[in-house]
Amino acid sequence: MLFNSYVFIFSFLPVTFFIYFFLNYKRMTMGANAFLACASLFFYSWWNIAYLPLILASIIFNFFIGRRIASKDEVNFGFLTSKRVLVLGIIANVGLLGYYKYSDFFIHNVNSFFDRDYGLLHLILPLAISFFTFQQIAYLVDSYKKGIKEYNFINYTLFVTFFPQLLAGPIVHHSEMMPQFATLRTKLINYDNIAKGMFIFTIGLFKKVVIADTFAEWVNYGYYGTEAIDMLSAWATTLSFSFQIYFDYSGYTDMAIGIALLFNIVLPINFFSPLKSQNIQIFWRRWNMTLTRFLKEYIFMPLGGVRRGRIIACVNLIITFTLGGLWHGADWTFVFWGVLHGTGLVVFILWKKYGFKMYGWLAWFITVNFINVSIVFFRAENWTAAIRMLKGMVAYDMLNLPGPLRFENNLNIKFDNFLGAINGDIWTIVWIFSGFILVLCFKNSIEKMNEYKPSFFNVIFMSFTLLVGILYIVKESEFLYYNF
Amino acid sequence: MFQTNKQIIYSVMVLTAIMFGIYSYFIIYHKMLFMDVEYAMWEYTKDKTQTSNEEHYNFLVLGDSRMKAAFIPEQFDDENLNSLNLSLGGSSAIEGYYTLRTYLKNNKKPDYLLVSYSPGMLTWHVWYWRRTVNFQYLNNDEFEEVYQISEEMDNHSTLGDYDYMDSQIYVGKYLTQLINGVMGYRWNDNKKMLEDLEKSKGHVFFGTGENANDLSYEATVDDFIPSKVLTRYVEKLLKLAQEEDIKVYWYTPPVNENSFANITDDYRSSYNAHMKTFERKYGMTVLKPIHEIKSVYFSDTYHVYKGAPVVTKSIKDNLIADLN
Repeated sequence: MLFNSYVFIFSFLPVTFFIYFFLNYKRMTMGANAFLACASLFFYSWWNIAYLPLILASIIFNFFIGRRIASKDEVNFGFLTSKRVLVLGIIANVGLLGYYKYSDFFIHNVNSFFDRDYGLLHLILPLAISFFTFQQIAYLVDSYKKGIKEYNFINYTLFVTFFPQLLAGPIVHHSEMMPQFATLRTKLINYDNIAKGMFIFTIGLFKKVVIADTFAEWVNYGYYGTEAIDMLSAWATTLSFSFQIYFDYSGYTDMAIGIALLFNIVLPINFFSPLKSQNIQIFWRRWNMTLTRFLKEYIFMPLGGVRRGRIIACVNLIITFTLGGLWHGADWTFVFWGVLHGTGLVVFILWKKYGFKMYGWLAWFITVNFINVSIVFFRAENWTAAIRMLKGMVAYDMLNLPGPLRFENNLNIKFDNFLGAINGDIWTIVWIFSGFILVLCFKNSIEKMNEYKPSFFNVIFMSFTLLVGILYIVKESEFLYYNF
Repeated sequence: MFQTNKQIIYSVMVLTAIMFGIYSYFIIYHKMLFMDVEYAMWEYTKDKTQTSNEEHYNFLVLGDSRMKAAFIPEQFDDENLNSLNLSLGGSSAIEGYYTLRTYLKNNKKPDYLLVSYSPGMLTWHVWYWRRTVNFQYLNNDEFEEVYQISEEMDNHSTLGDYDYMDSQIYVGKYLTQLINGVMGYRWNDNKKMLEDLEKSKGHVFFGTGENANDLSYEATVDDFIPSKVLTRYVEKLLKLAQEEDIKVYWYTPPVNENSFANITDDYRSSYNAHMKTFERKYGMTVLKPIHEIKSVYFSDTYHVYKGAPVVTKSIKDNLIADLN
């Protein structure tokens, strides 16, 4: 089920909200949690009920493994020490993710390298598997390191499946979530939270259905063809995708935060104006922050972090981002995208070490362009498509300007079919320009939410944003991160 | 007011619901105020078929936009043939069949029926979702029937597999039309269009250009490959007419000189063979196969302007000859 669908906004969400608080009102707090967990599983199954057993099996397995790990060998299980169980748990989770997400990638590469012809499995990637797997790996590690223990199966199921963050994060820690569900204050309807939740939800909905989905049209056209693409169309495509993915995912996160707030649950921030960043390090501290936190805590730090010297730290950084790239998708283009960002971070660290300085605006310009160029590998279906787009971006000999600018020239500059390759027009440029204004000149949705106060202006703002958001829901439009 | 969050929440919900309700009301009940003028043409035909007309039309015309522009009903008045042009721009035999079926339910049957879809409209149908569904020309039972037949005949390869309910559920689909309509005062254009159609008994021009020699769709493909689902609907249409004892004539709309020269022999022979099948099975008469008229008769690639009286006369002459 999509947040940006009528069935969710008009049926699932209000029904779940009222039943949850009704059960709490009747002092059936465990029943309320059980209901919320069941509702979340229903929400998950809406996509494809065939994968319900998979997520349930994963939850049951990790629940018992987590309990065993947290017992800290109080009972002697012989060979199965806590550490070995932890390793077993991690292997099982990574194995599950690997089977569904990377089998065909692996087989394809074996076929290519060893000239074999093993058949691909063509498995459908279960929705959210990357997210619930990472979340549970984090839980197992926390159980081992911090002794976090969850004795209640319903609570654990709710921790994994809580529907606002189940499908695409934010990736949360057990210690962030469960104390909130246990607090009595979360059992009562809180109008302050509901108002704030509605406020940020409407912003998120608007970001997704109005802004991201508009950019998506040009992106899809731009990446569709195989023929050479002209320079302006290529830049418009890549910038459109940068905005699409930002507004899509931050819109999703805003909605998730807003929905969770209706239930008095505060989810961690996942985006904080990343496109204002003046270097790649700050960018990753502001973009998909919970994923970055996971990569840091559960990959970078165990690899040694910065403890073994600068060179090893740089290598660890590249490894971490390479795996981060692979987590996003089973393709070498994703891996390369990860390598690029890891390398970018290393370059920045060295730059900082040697004390080089740069104007702020220039640093921002370089950072945003690095993100925009590297993301070509993230979006392109394959190498050929990525190279085609990059070629277009530097194809100075293929320039198509708007007709009204027409002048005589022998530079091969044309004045017909301006942005025709992406089915765009002058409005595409207006949207891109507006995108920059939105991300650079305004406070982000989290800042806006924190400043929120009851006022007439906010009534008008929320009503208008919500109305336009609802009216723009005209089709099933998945969030990009549902694919990961 | 608006001091507490409780007030804010209820205010937002009520205000949004009111605005959504007003918007939906206009979208559902007053499309004529903002839709483009094509909608008015479809509404005219819908109105003529769904209501019982005071006048009896003994000669009906069903076709696409080419026939909408080409057939002038007034030219038949002197032959004791009270004709009505029910053609629809971008329509196919699907809409034609339901138009005739609904017309017969509410009106006295005509004696003659002229069917005129361009060859291209027997092979593909890009307008079904944009016009037929978006304009909600059919009722849900009819949409469902089309969906089932489309699935059965060619697994939606002609029409595409979408949900016809989307246009009714997602009222936001009409937002751009509404904005454009309000900005362009379209209610005036639509009102005038209805009045003009009433006067001309369903005839309208699609432009007043005086020469068009670009290639029509038929001249850009090598062979005529009829769509299974559209063929099925032609058959349903002809069968319905046969059951009601209505004499059916088929008239292939003319193309310009350049297009005619570029239509392949394979295309012509396949098309003719297709028509022959209908003639044999349903006893209809083909008045004209693929043919040309001067390019100066066309206002654009597909629609005649100066040529309309010529085409109507051609139909009339052929029809009279057959009747005699």
